[in-house]
Amino acid sequence: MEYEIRRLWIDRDPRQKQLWQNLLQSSGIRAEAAISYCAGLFFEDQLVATGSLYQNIIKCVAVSPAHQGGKAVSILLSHLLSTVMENGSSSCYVYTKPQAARSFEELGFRELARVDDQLVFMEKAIYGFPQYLKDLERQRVPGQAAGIVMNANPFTLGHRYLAERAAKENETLHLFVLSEDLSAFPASTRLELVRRGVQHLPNVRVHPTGDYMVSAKTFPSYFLKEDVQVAKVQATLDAILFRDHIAPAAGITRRYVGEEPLSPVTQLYNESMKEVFHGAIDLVILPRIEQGGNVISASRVRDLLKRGKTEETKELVPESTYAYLISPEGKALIQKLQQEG
Amino acid sequence: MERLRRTMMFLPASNPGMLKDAIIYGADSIMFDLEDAISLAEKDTSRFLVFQAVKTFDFSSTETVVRINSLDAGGIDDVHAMVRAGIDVIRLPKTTCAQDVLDTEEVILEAEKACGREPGSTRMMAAIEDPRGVLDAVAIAHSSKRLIGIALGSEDYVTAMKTKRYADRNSEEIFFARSMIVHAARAAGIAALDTIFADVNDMETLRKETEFVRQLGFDGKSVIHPRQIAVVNSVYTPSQKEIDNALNVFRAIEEANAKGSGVIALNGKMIDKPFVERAERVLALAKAAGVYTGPEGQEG
Amino acid sequence: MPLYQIQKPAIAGTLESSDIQIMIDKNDGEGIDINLTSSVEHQYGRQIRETICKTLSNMGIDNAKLTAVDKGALDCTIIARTIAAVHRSCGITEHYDWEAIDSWNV
Repeated sequence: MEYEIRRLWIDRDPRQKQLWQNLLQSSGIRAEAAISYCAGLFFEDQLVATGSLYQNIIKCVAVSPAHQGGKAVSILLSHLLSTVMENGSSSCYVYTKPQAARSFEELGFRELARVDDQLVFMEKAIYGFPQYLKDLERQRVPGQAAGIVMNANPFTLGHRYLAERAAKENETLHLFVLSEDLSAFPASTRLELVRRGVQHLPNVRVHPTGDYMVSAKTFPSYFLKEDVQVAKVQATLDAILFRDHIAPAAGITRRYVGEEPLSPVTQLYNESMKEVFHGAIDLVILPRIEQGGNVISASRVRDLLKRGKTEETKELVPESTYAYLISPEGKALIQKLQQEG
Repeated sequence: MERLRRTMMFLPASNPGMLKDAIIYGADSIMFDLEDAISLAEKDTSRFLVFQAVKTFDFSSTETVVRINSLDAGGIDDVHAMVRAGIDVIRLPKTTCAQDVLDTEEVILEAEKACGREPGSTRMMAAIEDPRGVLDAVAIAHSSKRLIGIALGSEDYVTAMKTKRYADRNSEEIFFARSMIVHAARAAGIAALDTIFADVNDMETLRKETEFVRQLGFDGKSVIHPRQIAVVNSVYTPSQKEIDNALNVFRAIEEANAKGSGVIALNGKMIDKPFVERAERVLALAKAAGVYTGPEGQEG
Repeated sequence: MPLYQIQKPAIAGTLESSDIQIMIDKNDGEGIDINLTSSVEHQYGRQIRETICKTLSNMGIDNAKLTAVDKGALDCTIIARTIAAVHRSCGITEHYDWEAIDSWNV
């Protein structure tokens, strides 16, 4: 009897979802919410292995004990990789336990970064990270360089302040905009608004983060132990990737972040960076600028847009961002925001 | 002497490991499946794989068959690739009428001309998988000189008949189709091949089913797992008594020839053409099964 | 203009035993670059690369970047997977040139 791959409709079929959860549970893996495609491997009509995708990230891989060490996992992984490529992506990622890293290596994955004994971040790609770093190196400029990573959803005066300060205090500023398409403003729009918003700063270079920084939303944590602080591991991984690869490629020795005393997650993020950067990169935390007694933030802008108060955002965003908001494209996007509530 | 087709093993064309090992299991024919076993996304890669495999591997005396997709769903490329690679037989899926065979034959001829193979050298086989095809089996079986046989594909057929397979109830739901196919094949003088048996763990029912189709007159059965081959082949292995009878027929012929006698008799019965044909077939099956190696009967 | 023009990333093959999984993409003016993972790299790595290179050169491809994971594939499988990956990358999905494909012996 042959193995057979079938799509699992975990979002539509409660029975399939239950089967899937049982298999994950027996493998000591938690089910994740952020899943865009779920595949099941069947043997004699029994679900014996499963693996999922969130875009180009492989998640929740579990193989029942009787089918481990055989061809089940290679059939499953082959299918997931082909699916990723069919969906138009040329690279594929996995976050996994260090014990599983070796078997992923045999399937052509390479390790990008590792957080102690908790997690390994791996990539399978034709170009991938080495090429990303090479491109970054080409944009390297001699002298003191700083880095900022932002989502810019959308680009506000707060972001601009951060960029201006860093640009002034350093010879070059590399500004990374998250590429993940999970935000209200699509990645291409966010990137474009950042580019326009820093046009007056000649020493700023804007880069997309590509696949090399993930948000907490998609960060897979299914294999971590229950008591581990997921956000902490994610932040640490991001910081390690930045310290060991991105910063050296671009020649960055300082990282600027905005202070966020009210958000424990951001605080945790900043703390993790401080720990990881220790000695290698200076972490500069700048206080947020205010308008009308409140700090300027992208969430405040989005909130106004949702409530139909586009005009009030004029005080919070640069002209370039505002021009977009009142353009037909921007209006359509705001309408969508309002409908989603 | 016609070729033995006791077992035709289905192999998904997408799997290099299985293609490589295809002949070691001892099936009389190997059928590379480009059709139902292959997902839409892997049609192209599978076609390239079988193309290279057929070109490269030595399949010895094993007959190579490929099940192509319908002509409007990649079948034209399937035919061109496989004819060029040198496949023995092109198997049409879901044949509903004689025209289906003729349409494919046209593409095969075109492919043979394109690659310099002798026109007509590629043989064909038609799988009948729905009620129209069953009712048209006689016309289908007579439609082309290239046809070496017709086969029943029961999974689609029972669905079209609004029923399902009842292997545990003597498969009465496909009795009519089997009868039509074996009659049509015999009338046209070509092989009749039975459908697959899906449960690869149930050897007992497989044996019973094979005994039954042998009784109906089928030449053999399609198999989907190597371990089914031995069961089917063993059912088609003649008993010692059958072998002895066949040998006696040839001894009687020899003796009559030596005497210059025109009338051949054995144990008081006339030996005529059907006797000889059956004896030939018994010895061929016995040889294939390795239970008989003697020289008699080779010339008939 | 050459018949086969690498246009987009493509993949062919699986990670199963006896197979090879090949990913291919453009490599503008940089020649052929193959990143190979194989359990038999020491004995057969060179031969696998040569088979891929020869097939690409038969297809008139001078520039391509490939990532291959070999699981003990025979030459004919390596050729079949390479040809399939190139066709996919070129966006060719029917009316293949079987005469040409037939001539690409390695």
